[in-house]
Amino acid sequence: MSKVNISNLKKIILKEKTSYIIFSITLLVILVFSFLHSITFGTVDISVKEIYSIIAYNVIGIEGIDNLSRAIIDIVWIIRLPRLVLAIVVGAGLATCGVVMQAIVKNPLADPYILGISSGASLGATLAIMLGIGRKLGSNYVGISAFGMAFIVSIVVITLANIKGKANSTKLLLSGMAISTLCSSFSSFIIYTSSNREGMRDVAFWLMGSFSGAKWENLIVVVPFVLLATIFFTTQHRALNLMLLGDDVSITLGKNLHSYRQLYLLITSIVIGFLVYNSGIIGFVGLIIPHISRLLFGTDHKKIILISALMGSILLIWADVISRLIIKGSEIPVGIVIALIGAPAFVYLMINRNYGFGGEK
Amino acid sequence: MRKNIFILLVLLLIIYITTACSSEDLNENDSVDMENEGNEEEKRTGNEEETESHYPVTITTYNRAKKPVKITFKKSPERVLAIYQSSIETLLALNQGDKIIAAAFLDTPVKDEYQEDFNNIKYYENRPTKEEVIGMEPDLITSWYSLFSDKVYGDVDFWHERGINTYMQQNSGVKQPNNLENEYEDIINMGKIFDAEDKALEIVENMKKEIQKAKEYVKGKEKVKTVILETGKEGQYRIYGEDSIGGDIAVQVGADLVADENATIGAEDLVALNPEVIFTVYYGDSIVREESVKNIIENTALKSISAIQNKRVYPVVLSEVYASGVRTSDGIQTIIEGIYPDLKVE
Amino acid sequence: MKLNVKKLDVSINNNHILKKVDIHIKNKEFIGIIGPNGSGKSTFLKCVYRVLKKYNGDIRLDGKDISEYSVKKTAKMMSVVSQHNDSQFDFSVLDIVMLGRSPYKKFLERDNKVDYDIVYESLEKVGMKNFADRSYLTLSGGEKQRIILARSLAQKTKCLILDEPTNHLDIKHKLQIMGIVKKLDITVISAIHDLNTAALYCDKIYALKSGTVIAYGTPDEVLTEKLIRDLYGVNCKVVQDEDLGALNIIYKPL
Repeated sequence: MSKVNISNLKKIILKEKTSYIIFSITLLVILVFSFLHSITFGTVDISVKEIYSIIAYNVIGIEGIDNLSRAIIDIVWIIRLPRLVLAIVVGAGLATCGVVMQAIVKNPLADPYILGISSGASLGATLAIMLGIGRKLGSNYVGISAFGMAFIVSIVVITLANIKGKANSTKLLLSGMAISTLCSSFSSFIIYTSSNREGMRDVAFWLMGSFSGAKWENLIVVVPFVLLATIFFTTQHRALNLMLLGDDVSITLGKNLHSYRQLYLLITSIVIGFLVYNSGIIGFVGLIIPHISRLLFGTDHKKIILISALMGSILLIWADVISRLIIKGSEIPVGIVIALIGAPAFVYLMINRNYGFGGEK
Repeated sequence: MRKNIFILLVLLLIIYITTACSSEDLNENDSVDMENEGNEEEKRTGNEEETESHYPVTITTYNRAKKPVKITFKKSPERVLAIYQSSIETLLALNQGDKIIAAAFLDTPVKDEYQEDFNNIKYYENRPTKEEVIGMEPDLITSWYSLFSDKVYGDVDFWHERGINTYMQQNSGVKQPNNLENEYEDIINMGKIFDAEDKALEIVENMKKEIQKAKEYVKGKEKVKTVILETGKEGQYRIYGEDSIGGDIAVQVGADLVADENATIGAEDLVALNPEVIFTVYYGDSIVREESVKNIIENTALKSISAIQNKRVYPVVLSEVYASGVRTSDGIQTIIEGIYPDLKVE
Repeated sequence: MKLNVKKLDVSINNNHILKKVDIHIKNKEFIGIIGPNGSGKSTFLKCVYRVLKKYNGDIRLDGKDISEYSVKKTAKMMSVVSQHNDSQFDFSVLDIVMLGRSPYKKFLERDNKVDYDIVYESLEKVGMKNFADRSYLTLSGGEKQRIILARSLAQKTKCLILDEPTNHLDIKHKLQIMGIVKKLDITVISAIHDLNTAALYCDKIYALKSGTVIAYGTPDEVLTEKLIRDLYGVNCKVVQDEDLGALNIIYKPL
C-alpha cells in the first residue's frame, strides 16, 4: 500500500523537476536569442552580417572587416556590445542579490539596496562630483567613490546591527534604514549648500540607471565577479532556505546563520557596488524578479536563484533596447523604462496574493 | 497562476514582434546617412588663400578631470556637432553655420540674425545618443563640461583617439571662478579653429568697449548696490556672485555687488542687503520671464527693499549670464541698462 | 542520548528565570517537564537545544560539554519541535521536511534517494503522506505541527525535544503524535501542559516552579494532588484507573 503511494509522490516530484528543467532551458534559449537579436537594434543602420563579422574579428580574429568604416566598428564593438553585456550582468546581479537580500532580512519586500547600499553609492557619487573628493584616483573616480562609499556603508550597517547582540533580520533592517537616512541627508546637504550647478545635473545623471557608460575595461572586472557570485549563491540554497525559517530553527537544523549572513552581505555589497559603479541605480528588478520566480516555482532557493538571474538578464536586455528605441536618435535612461514596467507589475503582484505573500488564508 | 504568466509571455511576444517589425521601418527611414552629410562647401571666410599659413592650429581644451589637453586642427572643421546654446550661437556668430551638421539643447530660440543659417541645421529635440554621434562622423564636438561625462559621451580622449576634436566651454564647469576672460578666450579659440579670428576679435572687442564705457560713466559716482539672483523655491534665492559671469559683469561695470558669493540666501538676508537693483535670472519663455519678476515684486516679505520700491527689478535670461558665449554682449547690455538707465548703450 | 544538566542558572533582563537547576536524563528515557507558565520550561529547553547561549552552569550531552560540539553535530543528535514556526514565505511540505536532512548534507551535496526515502517515511509516520506538494502556509495549525514533527523525524536523531507541541492538536492527533514519539525508542524531552498526557507517556517527570525543580520521579510519584496544588494553584483528584492502568487527573473548578 505505502509503496504505491510513495511512487505517486515520486511522480509528482518528477513532474515538478521536469517542468523546472524545461523552463530553465527555455529561459537560457531566450537569453541567447535576445543577445543575438538585441545587438542589431540601434539608430544607425548596420546589417546583421556586418555586426557578426565585427564580433568575429574582435573575439576570434577572423579577418573581413577592412571595408567597414571605423565608425561602424566602434558602434558595434564599443557601444552596442558592451551595453548588452552590461545589461546581462546587471540583470543577473540585481535579481540574484534581490533573492539573497530577501532571505537575509526575511522580507519579500526587500530589494538589493535596502541596507543602505544605494544611499551610500549616491553619497559617494555626490561627494565625488560636487566636492571633487577622490579626484586623484583617476578618471574613474566617481565610480570608485560610489563603490567605496557603498561598501563602507554596508560595513557600518552590519557593525551597527551587531551592537548589543548578534545581528538578526530586524536589526539589519533598522540599521539599514538609519544609515540610509543619514547618507541621503548628507547628500542633500551637500547638494543644497553647493553652488555647483553642473554638479547637480551630473549627480542626477550619474545615479539614473543607464547602460550608456558601459566599457570593456570595467566589464572585465565586473562580469567574472558577478558570474562567480551568482554561481556561489546557487550553491547556498540550504542556508538561504534556513534563513527564511529563522535563526532558532536553523540552529536546531545544524547551521549558525550569523556567519553566513555576514558573508552574504559582504558579497552582495560588492556586487551591488560594482553594478552601481557601472550603471547607476536601477530599481524594481531586484524586487520583482524574485517574486515572479517564487510564483512559478515556490520558495526553494535551489530553483529560484538560477531562473531569477536568467529572467533579470533577459528583462534588462530588452529594457535597454526599448530605452534606445523609444525616442528616435536619443535614449531614455533604462531605470525609467524599468520603473514604468515595474510599477504596474508590482501592483499586480500585490493584488494577487495567492502565494503566501503574508500568509494564512 | 502559471497559466496567467504564460498568457502574459505570449502577449509580450506579440508586442515584441510588432516592435521588431516597426523598428526596422524606423531604421530604414531615419538611418543616419553617413556618406554625404558635409557637402556644403560654400561660404568660407575671405582668408581662404592664406589657409596654408593659418593651419595647423593648436588649441588648449580640457578633459573631465579639468586638466588642459592640446588639440591640433590641420584644417577648419567641416562637420561640427554643437550642443548647448552658447556652443551653437558662437559658431553662428562667426558665420560658421554651414559647418554644423547637427545641434541640440537650445535653451531659447537662436537670435534672429542667426535664424536663417540655423534653419539649415539638423536640430535634435533630445540629445543624440553616442551611437548616433559616432554614426555622424563629426570632426569636432563643441559643448559643455557635462556632456563628456561617463554616462553621456564619455571623456574627450575617446573622441580624440578617433580623430574627432572636442571643445569644452570653460565656464560650463571647467574653470572656477566663471569670468568674462574665459568667455573671451572661448570665442577667440573658436575664431582660431575656424580661421575666423578677425570676427572673433571684433566680437570680444565690442564687449570690452561696452564695459569700458560703463566704467567711465560710473567714475566719481556712487556705486549702485546690485544683486543678481535666481528664485528657487519660495523664499530661496540662488545668488550669482562675483564668481559667476553675471556677477563678473556687474563688478566690472562698476556696480557694488552686495551679494558677492555664490550661495543660496533667504528673504531675510535679501532684505538686509537692501540692493538698489535686482536682476532676476530666468530660463524659458515669456511667461517664465514675467513670473521671475513678479515673484520678487509681489513678495510682501521683500517690499522694504529699495529695488522693489523703486521698481528696479529686471529679468535677465540665463543664457546671458551663464556660459554665455556670444550672448555675453547681451548680458553686458542688460546689466548696464539696468544699473545705469541713463547711459545709452549701442 | 544522555543529558546531564548541573546548576543551570539563567537571567534574562533582570528576571532570574532558572535557579541552579539540576536535571538528568538517561538514554531513551521519555521525560516530561511540567510547570506553570513562566516557570522556565521553555528557557531550559532553549539552553539545551542551543538557542540560548548565555547561561551559567553545566550542560552535557553524552558526557561532553555542549559547547564542545559543533552546531551541526548537535543537530544530528537532537531535533526540536517548538511552537513558533511562522514565516512570510511559502515552502512546500516536501521542502520543509527535506530541511530535516540538512545536518547531513555537505557543501554542494545534493539530496539523494536515501533522503527522499526518509522524507516519505517521516511523512507517512505522521499520517500526512498525501500532503507532500501542498504549500505549508495553507495547512491548519495541527497539520503544520505534524509536518514539523515529520521534519524532526527526518533528522534521525537520538533525542527529540518537544516544546509544548501538541497545543494545537485535537485529541486524536494529540494521541497519535505522542504515540509516534513514544515508539521512537529514543530519548524524548517534552514540555507538557496537559498532565493526563504526561501521565500516559512519560517515564519520569520534572516539575518546575519559578525556576526550581520542586519534584522529580515517575508520574505516580510526582502527580499528587498536593503537588498539583503547589504547582498550579488548582485543586484536583488523582485517580488510578485499574483497567487501563493509567493515572487520571480530574480538575475541580476554581
